[in-house]
Amino acid sequence: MKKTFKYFIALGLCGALLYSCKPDNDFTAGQPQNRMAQLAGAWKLQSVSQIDLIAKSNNFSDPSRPEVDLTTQDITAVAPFTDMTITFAEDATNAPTTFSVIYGNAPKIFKLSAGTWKVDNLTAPGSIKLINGVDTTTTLIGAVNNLSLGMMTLQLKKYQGVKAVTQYNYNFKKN
Amino acid sequence: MRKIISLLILTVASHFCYAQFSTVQFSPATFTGEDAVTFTIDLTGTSLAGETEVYIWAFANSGLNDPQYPSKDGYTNTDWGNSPATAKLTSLGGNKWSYTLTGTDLFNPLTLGQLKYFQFLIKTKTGSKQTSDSPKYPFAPVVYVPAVYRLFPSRMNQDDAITVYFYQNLSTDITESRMAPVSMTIKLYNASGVQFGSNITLPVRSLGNKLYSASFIPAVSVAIPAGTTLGSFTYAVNGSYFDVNGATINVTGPENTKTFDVLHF
Repeated sequence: MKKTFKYFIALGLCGALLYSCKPDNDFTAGQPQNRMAQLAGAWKLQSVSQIDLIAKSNNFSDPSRPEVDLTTQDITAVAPFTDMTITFAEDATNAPTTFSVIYGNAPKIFKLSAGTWKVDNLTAPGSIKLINGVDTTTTLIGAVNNLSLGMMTLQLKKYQGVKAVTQYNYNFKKN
Repeated sequence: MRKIISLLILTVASHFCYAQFSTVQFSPATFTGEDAVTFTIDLTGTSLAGETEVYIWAFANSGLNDPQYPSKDGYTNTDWGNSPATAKLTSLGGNKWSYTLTGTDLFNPLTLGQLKYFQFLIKTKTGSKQTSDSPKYPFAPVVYVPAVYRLFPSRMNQDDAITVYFYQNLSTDITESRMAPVSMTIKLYNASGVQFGSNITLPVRSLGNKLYSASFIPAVSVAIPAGTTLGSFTYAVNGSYFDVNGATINVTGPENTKTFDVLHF
């Protein structure tokens, strides 16, 4: 009798579990992120990393010194990079207007100090162009999802001919 | 005395053999076996001065005797007495010539990992006149090769953050391997080979197990006027060790040179 009662309870629990697995049929994806609004404002440079794209693409490694990274290194301390702040201004519709850079003693990594800026796609920006007259610096936005957390990574690649050889990742935090 | 004179003659002769190659310039300055590279050479003062056509005779890994790096003639080395059109250099006027090659193409079927260095000589079509063999021009490795010095990144110009790594445990130089490294001296040079600015002294950082590094950005270390492009830099490690009496001796290791690469965003 006791055994039958246990089986009965187990069966009831299984039924309850199966019932709870019903699809809720809610297919809404939530509100889209307004990346342009997230980009607007002042960003202070926190850290810089440098990637040797040749070493990376060829999987350079040193088995005798596995602790030494042959492809990427943090260069934040090489120069006063963290002096730098970049500010992106937008109009009422979140379209890019002007930018300004305060370098302090940091190297002039974007070459330009002020001008206008553009993105490749207003809904899902992947790159930013900093423009001043005929001079343009193009950077890629890395880890776009981090924009909502107040963090932004701008990437600059250097080329030898048509071959990308070095990449810099500039990691900013919103002021 | 005769031996000394013979040695002297040999030394002077070898200097003149390579002198004609002192004008050779590569673009890009650093290249792997899969990169197209163009070199220029000025044949003024050689037996080939005044020729209207000159040809390349190229060879890779010559004298290595290493099965990992087999010797190979360039595919343009078809007939010494009748060089093909594919071996012809392009005239730049005067006695200046250029030639563009890609290692894996010129030395096919050698693969990227089998190309260590190459040499060439310049000749007339019929081979009636020729230069001596060039020095060995290295292909940048595509696998990590441990060496006493490693530069990061591998391609750089005056605006890059450059880190010089010093693997003291790999050094066979007495001064270099004995010293306690303290600093590194950097000298920048303009495109004409004249030193630009003062010496830069950087503290070295110990990374453990006899590995040291020093980092700098040329354009931050010295003020470089707009429009000025630097050509190269040298680096040497400074340190100290004790003599037999326990006195400290300050020493400097061998000086190494790196040519800046032509890079753009």
